[in-house]
Amino acid sequence: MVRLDPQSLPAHVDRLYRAAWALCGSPHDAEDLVQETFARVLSRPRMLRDGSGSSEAVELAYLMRALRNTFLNTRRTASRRPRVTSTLDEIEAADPRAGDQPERAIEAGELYAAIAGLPEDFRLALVAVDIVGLSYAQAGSVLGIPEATVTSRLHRARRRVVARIDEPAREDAREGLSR
Amino acid sequence: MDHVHDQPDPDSAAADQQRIASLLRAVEVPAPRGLHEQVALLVAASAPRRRRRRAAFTLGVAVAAAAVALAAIVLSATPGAPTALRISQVALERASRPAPRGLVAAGTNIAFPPWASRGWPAAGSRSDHIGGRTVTTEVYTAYDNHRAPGPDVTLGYAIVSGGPLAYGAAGRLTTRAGVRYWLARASGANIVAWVQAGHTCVIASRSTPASELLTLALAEHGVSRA
Repeated sequence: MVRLDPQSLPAHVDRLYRAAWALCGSPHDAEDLVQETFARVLSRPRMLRDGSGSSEAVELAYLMRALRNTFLNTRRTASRRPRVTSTLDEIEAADPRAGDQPERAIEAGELYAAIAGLPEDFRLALVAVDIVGLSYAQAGSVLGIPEATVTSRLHRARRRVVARIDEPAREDAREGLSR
Repeated sequence: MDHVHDQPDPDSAAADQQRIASLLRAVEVPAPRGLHEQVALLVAASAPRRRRRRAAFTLGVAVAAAAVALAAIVLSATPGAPTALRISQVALERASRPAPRGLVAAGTNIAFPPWASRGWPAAGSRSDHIGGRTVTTEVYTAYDNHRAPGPDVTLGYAIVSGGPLAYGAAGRLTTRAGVRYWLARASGANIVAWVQAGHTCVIASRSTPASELLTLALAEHGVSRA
């Protein structure tokens, strides 16, 4: 067992934010989710199981578990009370970073929305492995499922996201050719 | 259902894996600076006492930057000063006097906007003194053919003299046209607050969606659409 060093956590904010965005489908909800996750993690000293990976991998696995739990708890709470969030999502015209890099920001929204549209089990597998960067074994441990199930869910998740992102482009290309 | 024997075709699985990795690399957006600052503050606050002094040094610029960023909101919250949340309660009160056209909020140079063309004619105003600040509120009542006008379809727009106030509660922050808006829901009301010309402005309504309140707030800065 090793003690979680709070000073090491800021290094993971970017990755956690992207993971949260893919889970929630909204950059604003993602900010709230990451902030809430860190607040919970930092509320008291934490001991980590010293797994086989590097200290960074162990921390990421721990944070992914915390993010998932916070996400599920937050969603349960949210379903019991009216929220401003959904309304705000509807009025969010553009990503605030669009001014810096418009194309990338728009694509980010599309991709994370496609991931957020996956069934929850598939989404969590994809977020844990492809966004947070956990191994299949770590993801299985974090999500409480066998490694083989991670593989299966991950495959289906990737297939659906790729289809959703790439199919419209192929349709456009076909229409272009037919003209 | 997950079936372990449901193994994907290796070629297509590898292609999908590569495609996803490529897509994710292409959109590898960083977290907003405000989130980094919030996490830095959480980390600093979590440090044991004997380490706090050292942590303050090691966090150095990050914490200082966060403190500066928050200064406009937090440090101006002098003891006894109300919060934006408290002002929202005032904004929800009934009008006590007429609202002259072009009414300027006391202690500021900010005139209340004529929102009749947006479906919100002025219905009255009020003035309150809270924590050494003067709060001028204009009450607007909806005039909309698509819904029955009535006393419940109102919103209050309060402008506070003196410097910016603390928000007073957790909420959602969103930036539009360079202006930071705080959005929250409390006591059955939607609230939007921002700082304009150095003064805290608050719009609150129990009957109007936050999106509509934000649209009105944005109109104050020449942003036509939320």
